[in-house]
Amino acid sequence: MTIEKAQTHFRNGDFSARELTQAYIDEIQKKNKDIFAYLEVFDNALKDADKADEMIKSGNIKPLTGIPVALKDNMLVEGEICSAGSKILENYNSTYDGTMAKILKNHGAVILGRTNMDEFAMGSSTENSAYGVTKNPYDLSTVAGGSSGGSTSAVAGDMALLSLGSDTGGSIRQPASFCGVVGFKPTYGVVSRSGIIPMGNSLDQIGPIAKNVSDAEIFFNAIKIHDPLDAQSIPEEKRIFENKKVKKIGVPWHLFKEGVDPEVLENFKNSIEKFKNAGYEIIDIDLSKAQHSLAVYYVIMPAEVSTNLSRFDGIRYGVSAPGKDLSEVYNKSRGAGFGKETRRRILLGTYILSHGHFDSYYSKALAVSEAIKDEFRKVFESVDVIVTPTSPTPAFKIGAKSDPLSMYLADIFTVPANIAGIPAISIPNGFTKNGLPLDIQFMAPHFADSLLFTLGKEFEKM
Amino acid sequence: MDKSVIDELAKLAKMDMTDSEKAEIGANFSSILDYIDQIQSIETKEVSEKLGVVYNVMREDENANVGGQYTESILAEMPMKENGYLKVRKIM
Repeated sequence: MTIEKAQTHFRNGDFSARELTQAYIDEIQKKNKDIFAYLEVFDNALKDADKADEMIKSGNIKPLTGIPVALKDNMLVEGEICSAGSKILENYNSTYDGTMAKILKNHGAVILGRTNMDEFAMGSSTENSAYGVTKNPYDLSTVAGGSSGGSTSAVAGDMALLSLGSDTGGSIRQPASFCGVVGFKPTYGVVSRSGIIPMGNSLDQIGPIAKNVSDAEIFFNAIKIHDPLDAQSIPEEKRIFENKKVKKIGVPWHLFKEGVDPEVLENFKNSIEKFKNAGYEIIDIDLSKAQHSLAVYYVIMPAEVSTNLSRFDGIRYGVSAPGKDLSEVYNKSRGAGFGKETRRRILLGTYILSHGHFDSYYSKALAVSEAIKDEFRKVFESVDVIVTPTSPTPAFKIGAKSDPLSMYLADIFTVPANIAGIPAISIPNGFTKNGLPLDIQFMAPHFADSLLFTLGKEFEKM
Repeated sequence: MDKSVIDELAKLAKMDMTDSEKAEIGANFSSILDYIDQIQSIETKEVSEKLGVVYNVMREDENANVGGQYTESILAEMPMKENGYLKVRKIM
């Protein structure tokens, strides 16, 4: 099913939005106990569908009218629980609609429910959720990737037509790659984050997950509005880029010398051959500064995490542990509410921002991230897009990465786009011998999001 | 990583943690910091000067919502409240 097909069927009266929604809910009921993509299916989903059917009847069909969508559990929908995969928010009812929920309601889309995620989006496997592990629909013994693993496995398992994820260091693209679906991280600042529970605000970006590039593009076009409620949202007239036909593809071959799975590398090389045969010019590029992106990320992100998560203190909302004084309430609530990886990053960020370490870590990391942006700017003078694998390995077994650093390295190819703030897309690209999905990632200059969709649609046909 | 450092960080972050948890996190801490240290080797003399360019993105300080629009739903989330006020434990 695609957006276009579904809406054609609505128009022709073949089935209603309510019937389509019910079909997805039936699939969820059948599969979710094994895959655990959803934390909750919203009671309002069928009411949303009825509203869509009224819009369809009156001929008022918008790009997402009647389309069943799943939301990552860090996006507020008024009156619904939003827990960010954390115990500390298990009882938190959203007090307002985030901008994504507002747009979806305005379009008459159906919000099916909220999907599982690594706690506060910290992880690359959805094993860090306080509520359980999301499985990969292609192999239930492997992870779905993360942190938006619930959203990607929902789409891959036909439990939603579309979903939204958030991507701070690869959290849309890496699980999309593991689950064999399209995941798109837009240019920083083109999709509003108002009403999402933040992780690292200078890096966080919301983006669409879909079965194919065209659906991801339709979804993106619906959500890419300027929003004054997000201070980093960029006015549409300032989103300037050179709209050209992609001809020159940059490949940073030096990044793949070690740490890349042989099947991934072989498949990637074959894809580059396909581009060559289709007439594209392949140019070897140097990203020797950007290859330090993950190290920069593990300074900036924990620093922002430690300050961001100070708001969860047991006072105004969420889990509150009783204590004899205010300090004890803070310490006990945070002690009981946060999981292990979240604590690790809070402590890491506290260390990085503490007196004596601030300049050598945080200030230095900001300077290096500027150097990385400069490097990308320079590279994009000679190439139109950059192509890499999304993930250095296919989906790994549940429990396989117990050491935190080895888990962090799963994002080695996705993090540079977050540090530079540029758009990037992960597209399904065949399978391993064992039947696990493989992927390819394209990156483009700031605001050239549309080039990635054009190239992606061409790649799907190759 | 020295246990006293982790103790101090947990105190600063206001997070109760057991000793075994502190030991486990402490054990991984150094390898993460070692990994991060690669950023020290990158030349940033030229870019550093560009840092610190900021401009105002704030709106005027006026009421963005209808007064009281969210009062009830926000109050409903509070663990302790009294007569429409947030209630907290004593500070000292």
